[in-house]
Amino acid sequence: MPRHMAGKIVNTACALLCGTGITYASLHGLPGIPPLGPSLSPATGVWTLTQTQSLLPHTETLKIPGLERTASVHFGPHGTAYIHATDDRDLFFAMGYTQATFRLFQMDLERRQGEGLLSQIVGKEALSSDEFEDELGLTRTATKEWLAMKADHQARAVLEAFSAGVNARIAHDEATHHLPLMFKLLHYKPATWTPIDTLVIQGIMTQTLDYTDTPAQYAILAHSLGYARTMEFFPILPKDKQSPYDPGPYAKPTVSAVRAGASSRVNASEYQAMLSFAHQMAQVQGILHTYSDSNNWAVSGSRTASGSALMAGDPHLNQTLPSIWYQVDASAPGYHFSGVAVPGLPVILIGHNRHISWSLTDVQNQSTLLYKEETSRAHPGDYFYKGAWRPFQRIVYDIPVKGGKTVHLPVSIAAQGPVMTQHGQALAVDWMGNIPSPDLSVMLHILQAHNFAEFRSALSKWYAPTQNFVYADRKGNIGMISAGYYPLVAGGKPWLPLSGTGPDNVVGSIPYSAIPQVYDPPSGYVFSANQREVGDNYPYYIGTTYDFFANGYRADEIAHVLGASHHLTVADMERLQTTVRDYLATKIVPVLLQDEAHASLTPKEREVVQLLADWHDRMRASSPAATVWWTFWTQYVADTFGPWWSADHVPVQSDPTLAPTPALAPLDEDLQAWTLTDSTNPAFTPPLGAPRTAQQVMRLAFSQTVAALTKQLGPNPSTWKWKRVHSREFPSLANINGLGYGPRGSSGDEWTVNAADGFPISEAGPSWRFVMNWATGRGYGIYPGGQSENPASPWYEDQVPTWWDGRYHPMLTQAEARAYRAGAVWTLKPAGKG
Amino acid sequence: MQKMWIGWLAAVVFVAAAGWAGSQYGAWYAAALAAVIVGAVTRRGFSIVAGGLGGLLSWGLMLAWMALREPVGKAAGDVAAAIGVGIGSGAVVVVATLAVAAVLSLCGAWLGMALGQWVKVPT
Repeated sequence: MPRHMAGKIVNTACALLCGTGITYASLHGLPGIPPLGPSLSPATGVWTLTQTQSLLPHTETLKIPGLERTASVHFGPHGTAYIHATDDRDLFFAMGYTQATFRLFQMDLERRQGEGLLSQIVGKEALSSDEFEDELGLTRTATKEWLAMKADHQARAVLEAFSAGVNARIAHDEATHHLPLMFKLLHYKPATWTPIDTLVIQGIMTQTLDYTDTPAQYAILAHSLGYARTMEFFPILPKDKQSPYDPGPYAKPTVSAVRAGASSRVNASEYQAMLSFAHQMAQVQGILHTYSDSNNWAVSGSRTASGSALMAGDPHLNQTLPSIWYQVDASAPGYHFSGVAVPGLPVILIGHNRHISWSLTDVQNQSTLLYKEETSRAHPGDYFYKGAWRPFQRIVYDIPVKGGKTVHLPVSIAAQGPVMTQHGQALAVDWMGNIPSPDLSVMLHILQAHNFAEFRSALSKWYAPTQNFVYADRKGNIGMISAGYYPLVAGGKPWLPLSGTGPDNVVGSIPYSAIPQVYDPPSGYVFSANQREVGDNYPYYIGTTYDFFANGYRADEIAHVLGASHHLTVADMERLQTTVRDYLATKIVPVLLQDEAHASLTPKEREVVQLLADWHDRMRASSPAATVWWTFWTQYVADTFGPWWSADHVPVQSDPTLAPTPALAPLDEDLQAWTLTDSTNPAFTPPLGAPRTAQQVMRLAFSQTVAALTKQLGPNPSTWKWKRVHSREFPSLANINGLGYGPRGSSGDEWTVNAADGFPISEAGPSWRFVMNWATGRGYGIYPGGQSENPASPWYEDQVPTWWDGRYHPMLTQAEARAYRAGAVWTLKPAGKG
Repeated sequence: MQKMWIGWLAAVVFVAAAGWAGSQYGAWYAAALAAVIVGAVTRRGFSIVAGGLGGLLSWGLMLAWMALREPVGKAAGDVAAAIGVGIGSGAVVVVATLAVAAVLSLCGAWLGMALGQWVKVPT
């Protein structure tokens, strides 16, 4: 072969090789790297996130297929969308279009989570989440809900209009190559939005708020500590004095009350199943609600300066960027409302119309029941139920996995619900999220309600998630209804796994007339903060201290403030929402100081005692006493309960949430009650140890606190500021470092009304603060985040500083928004019509 | 000599313009295709450099134009954070974008030139 020919061949081969390589990397990407060509192209790739239309809306006319008549969207100073439509259907269409413009990736991520399709875009890291969701069955419930809606159902029309609006925006973004950043980086396109997607997101909310593993944890604790001690430490009713909002009297029950009983045994195979179940929960912990924190209250005119009602609400949820909330004001012939919606849902969940306002906290009643299914090798695929072997319903899910093979997941479903584990024992779960709940229909009626009667009537159909709906109206009335589903079992102890053979089945729900509720109480105020809503003599079982009411300190603080005031104003409401006074500290610190006054202290301990003596129980970022208090209480809980945990081998290695820390609400309540009224309780004496009293354990915990803080923060107690050990962080929804906010040293703790959930870094807390003043019909609100999910947009996190400082934005009326000259205006016109 | 420079400049402009126009419609590969043509037609070594430079200019000028009006630096930082190369590493994304543009077109021109060598031009 001639030499020049060989050179040509080599040259061509090398060119082909390089060309093929760069083309492949450009088309398909490399491991961990998106396709380089489409992703980096300045005109249509990731760089489009900087383009004007992606950063902020600008005034324009948009011709949109699917819209019936002209509508408009005015954007307020921080991006709040003020939607006006001349037709109710178009209002929800525009709602979908607007939400998808600013939160499409968030919406897609949420529906993928609920539908078990995260692995398809992120790979096997999300497989445990997808398997969990397919087993639990949010999509099954959503599909049932959708199929149950008749053709002329109001909610059906709203869902279809909303979906059409979302899809119109998806089509627009695809046509203009302006899909949000993450679609480009993950290299996929959003599927068509369907009504079932919206219903799945509704299910996600129920799951987040109400799916728990507490029966499994009770079983694990009973296996370790023994049943009697477990019920002593984790009782059904709290040991401390709390502040129920509905103190009774109560109607006679229709079923007999559940009792704790003397004993209950958990065998080895059940114990294995419980550990497996708890482990499964730990895998998906990030998508479940691990804190029980939200507040709401209303005050009648008898206690306000204006003589009109005031209402406040701040739901505490995981704080992310973008936020879980999207603020919107809507006006159409049949609807006028203003508040916050969860992206993907066509209505606001919290806010007001022209006549009434409402806000939500979680009821926290037990809504997850575990059933031990009896199976046998002689009857494979069957379970024993009501005297006969019956086949499990079986569904096989296909979970596509990016970069891997599709996983085929068989799910077995018993009469009570899906089987979540078969390790040692088949465990089925009966939880409220498996019951179709007409939430959207209820919310549509609330949006149109004029008074408490209509509000109450609408809520009679609400099942899940159980929520404390606080109410106030223009006429000065206030109220609260803990609406939802309260399962009643025929037998057994529902806080433990129940028999799956039939006798312990759910036989109904507490009648609507008997659930917790009040209207215009003589006190002039109503409040909820996830505390047990009713007193000890409430005749129905609704849950235990561990499953999973809050320990009541926020409720106590709210009751304390509202009960002591008669001229309340909007500013007072805002102050209360942002207070960081720790109610438990107000009770315990005086006792500690009294005890330490008689103790022999080192000079440094005396200095620390003086810090506490000068303190006013505020968990402020700059307070060293706050650091001392929190460290002391954590140590006190550990010193009291730790020896029992060690002696009885509670498996905190397998399930760290069982460790004796202040995060276990019943332990705080026990310790508070014993410290104040029963200082010689046997729990203070460790197993096989010398007798101890509360004073002795406090003394020990205090000296350990001083030693630990000296080691951690240095020798000078005045520098032990709370912000040095405690911070807040708002991570990005996609868990991307650099697109979140913080961590930043912060005030508050789990029990302050302005809650900071989690220690040392809090990632949950007030996700939206709302105050309604019915003297003027004006609302005030703020959430930590921004209206846009685009990290380059000025609306990505612009509201964080205002939220952080405890300030609020006025919720403008439609007329005020139209008068806001600096705001962009979209005129939405039907495509093909002038 | 002057002719060669004009040809070289024309090749650069052609690739850059094709890249710019194609990108507007989602054809991120337009500059590379143009470079293939340049390489195949000229069959000269300079086409590789011209192709690479044209590709670099097509995306580079687009980014520069965007930077005059939009927060390209912040966006680069956000993208860097999102793909995990580190907070404050926006320059990496800018360099990667320019490098991809240049390498795509460079390879295109090289491929065009190599393939063009196999075609006999009628004399």
